Parts: sequence; C-alpha cells; structure tokens
Amino acid sequence: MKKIGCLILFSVTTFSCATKTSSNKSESEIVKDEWVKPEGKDTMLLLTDRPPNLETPLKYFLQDYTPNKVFFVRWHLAGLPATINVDTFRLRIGGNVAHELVLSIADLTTKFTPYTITALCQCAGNSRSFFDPRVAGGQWKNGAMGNAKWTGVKLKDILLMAGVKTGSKEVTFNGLDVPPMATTPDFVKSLSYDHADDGEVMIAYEMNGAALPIMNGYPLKLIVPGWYATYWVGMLNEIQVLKDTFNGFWMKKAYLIPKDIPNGNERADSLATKMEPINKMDVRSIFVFPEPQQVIGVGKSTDIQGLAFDAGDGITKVELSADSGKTWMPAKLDADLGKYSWRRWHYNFTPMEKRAYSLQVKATNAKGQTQPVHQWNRSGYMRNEIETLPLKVH
Amino acid sequence: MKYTTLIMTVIFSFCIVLINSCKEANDRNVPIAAAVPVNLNAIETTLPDAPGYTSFKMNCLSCHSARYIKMQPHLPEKTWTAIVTKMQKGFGAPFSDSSAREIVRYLVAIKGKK
Repeated sequence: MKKIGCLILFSVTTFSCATKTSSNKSESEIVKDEWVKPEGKDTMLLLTDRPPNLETPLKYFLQDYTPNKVFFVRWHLAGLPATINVDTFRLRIGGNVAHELVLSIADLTTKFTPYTITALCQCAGNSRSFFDPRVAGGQWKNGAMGNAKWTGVKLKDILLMAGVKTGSKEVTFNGLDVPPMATTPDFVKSLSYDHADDGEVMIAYEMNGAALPIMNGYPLKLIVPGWYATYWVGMLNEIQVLKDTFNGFWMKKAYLIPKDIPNGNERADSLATKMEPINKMDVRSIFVFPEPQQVIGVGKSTDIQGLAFDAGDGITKVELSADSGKTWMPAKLDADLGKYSWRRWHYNFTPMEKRAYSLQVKATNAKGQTQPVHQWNRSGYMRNEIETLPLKVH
Repeated sequence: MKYTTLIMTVIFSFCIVLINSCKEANDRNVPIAAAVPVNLNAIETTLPDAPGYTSFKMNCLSCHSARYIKMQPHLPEKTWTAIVTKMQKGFGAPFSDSSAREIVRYLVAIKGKK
C-alpha cells in the first residue's frame, strides 16, 4: 500500500514538473532574463559574455548609491587584460604639453589633492530594448546606469602638472582594452580642452570608497559628470592633448545623435541628416518600485519609488499621473546628493478599484526642461520618454 | 519487513529529490547563485543552423560572441545589411562582400522581420 502511495507521488511529481517546465518555456520565449555571477561581481543580468556587458538588477536602484558588485558593465572590445598589476600600471599624459607625465597609482594618490564627487553614470543606450520600433544594439532595460561616489584626481590638476601649451583644442582618452583585430578602431574618446580642464572632469581610483572592480575599469576611470557613460573611459592609461580636432571612429562614426534636435529625436521614415557626438544627459525619470505588472493592494497606500536626473542643472519637480497624463500630482523628492547625482523620489498611491492601472512619471529640471511623450532615434540612445508603469490592483 | 522499509525509504528519498529538482526548474527565472555561470568564458550560446551559418561563425565570432545576435530583436533585411556593412567598413571586419551577403542571409533567416 505504501509502495503504491509512493508510486502515485512519483507520477504526480513527474507530471507536475513536466507541465510547469513547458509553461515556463513558452513564457521565457517572450522575455527571458539570463543571469551571471562572474568573479568579483554579484548576480547580474547577462547581455553579452564577450566582450562583457552586464546590467544592474532594478532592485538595487532603491539605494542612493549603486554597490560596486552590481554596477553595470559595458565594454566594446573583447581584448581585455585578465589582471592588472597596480605596481607596474602607468597613466601617460602627452601631446601638446611641456612635460610628458608617466604617473603610477601611488603618484596619483600622493601627489595630488583627492577630490570626490557623486555622479550618475548612465550608458548612452540605457533602456534601448524599450525603443519602438526596436533598434539593434545592446538590449538594455533600465539597468545600464549607476550612482556612485567617485574619488580621485581632477583632470585639471594633472593638466596643470603637465604644463599644457597654448593652442590646445581637444584631449583624448584611451584605455587598456584593445580590439581583437588590428583592423578594428581602438576605443578612444575625446573632450574639448575647455571641458577636460573645467575642474569637474576627473580620474577616479575609487568608487564608493573602494578600488574599482576590474570590470568597471580598474584601476582608473575617467569621470565626466553629467555626460553619457561612453566618455567615462575605463582602464584609462593614455591621455593626449591635441592642437586639432580628434577624428577617431568612436567620435566621428559611433555614438552620434541627430544634431540640435531636442531629446535626439528622429523618425524611422525621415532620419536626421546632420549628426553630432552624443554629449550631456537629458532629463529623465524612471520607476523602480513596484516593478511592471506587480500586484498591489486595493484601498491601501503603496510607496511608489523611482529616480530622476539630468545633466547637472538639478531636478526641481517629479510628477505622477494615473490618468494618461491629463492630471499630474507631485512626488516627494529625497535629499539632494549633489547636482550630478540621481535624485530618488516617493509617491503614495492608493488605488480604490480592483483593475489594471497605468502610472506615468515625468521630471522637470531647473532650466524647465522636461521629458517628451515619445522619443526615438536609429541608434537607441538617450531614452527619456515619459515612462509608463503597468500595475495590477487586487 | 525491514527490507520493505528500506525500499520505501529509497523510493521516498527519490521522490523528495524529484520534488526539489522540480522546484529548481520552476524557480529558474529568478537568480539562484548556484545556477548562474560564474565564468563569462564558460558561457556558450547556441544559435540555430540556417544557410550562411558557416560564414557567420567564421567571420563574426572572432571579435564577439554569438550572444550579440541572440539578444537582438527581429530586424528587417535592410537593417541587417546595414549592420553587416558597418561591421565590415566601420569596424574593419576583414570579410569579402560575398561573405557579407551570406552573413546577412543567415541573420535574416534567424532574426529577420518582414
């Protein structure tokens, strides 16, 4: 009798397992998150393995600062050193300077005044997977960004030590990453000389009080507050001061947006004809909690939470709408952590009916700039259209 | 009797193992530390076979893994052609125009959109 009982349990178990697995499979064909926990990191969303591109799970955005262990990872070229010897690593500064510099990490930490800034690092292609129509490229959700306290040296101080000569126009930045093929252009970015020397652009040797993880650009990363992360060159080891315009592939062919058009907007059926390098971050806000399609309680207050940010003018207002944008209610802003930080916000929402709800969020900055209802461009950059959060109320 | 008890125990344990393995299968959409790869080099991405697959493997995977394709949405042939041309002319991938056409054929076969 017991034997029969066990056999029945056995059959039921096998059957239920098979059923659930097959239903999972059909769901997973629609949206399938894959996870990875590489050495030195906690579990993250896997976009690609070679070169590595990893996304921060949304839940970590409920914190002011994004932990180093889940900070998003973005590399263009698969030729990455497996290890870096901090004792032999050198940062070289050359070009239109009176004294070429070769600096060790010890030089940077002892010969310059340390400088710390809180700044949001957001990938140009953050949220690309939400573009409609869809576009090719890294299919990020909202997790290709992170907020951190960066500590290091002002680039201005390094340029001063090098004795920049007159007529300097641009500064280029190169890291240790190399293309697997010699025919592929190395990843080099440039800033105007005035921007590089503005006292805010810096070279970080720490993020959130610890050395950078190797996947986030150890041992040095360029920090360009308010600008998209494509300029935040990791494993930075070479700086060149130029008297001319830099014409490298990664400035002239890649990371281009429609020129002088708000929010980098264009239409798939009439693409912009004039393009320019991507630059400052646009005003944006996102939902963090609840996550899409999450169930919340009827007649109960739910603490809706999210983030808002811009390029440094400062977020002055975040508003939510539960009626497709007809009326807007103000959210409560958390403490200001610095003009280049993101700003967290809260909104108490009490739905009175059991049905599907849609919330929208919109931020405005000190310049009065806000978010568009729709935004699209061919490369999937600078996503900042007003975000809609579908919720179920039971 | 003892023999029966032993058999029962073995069958019961087997059932428990099965239940647990089912639970794991059902929970696999959430991150489980033990179930996710710890070494990016160990990740293997399998793409479907289709005409042009050999050209794709020979010419594309030396610089980036197949996950670059797996994550893409379905795109029109015109878009895939522009991407392959960008790889060839912009990123300096050293493949011929005829290989480029085969690669486009493959990408349209597995990730095409009318």
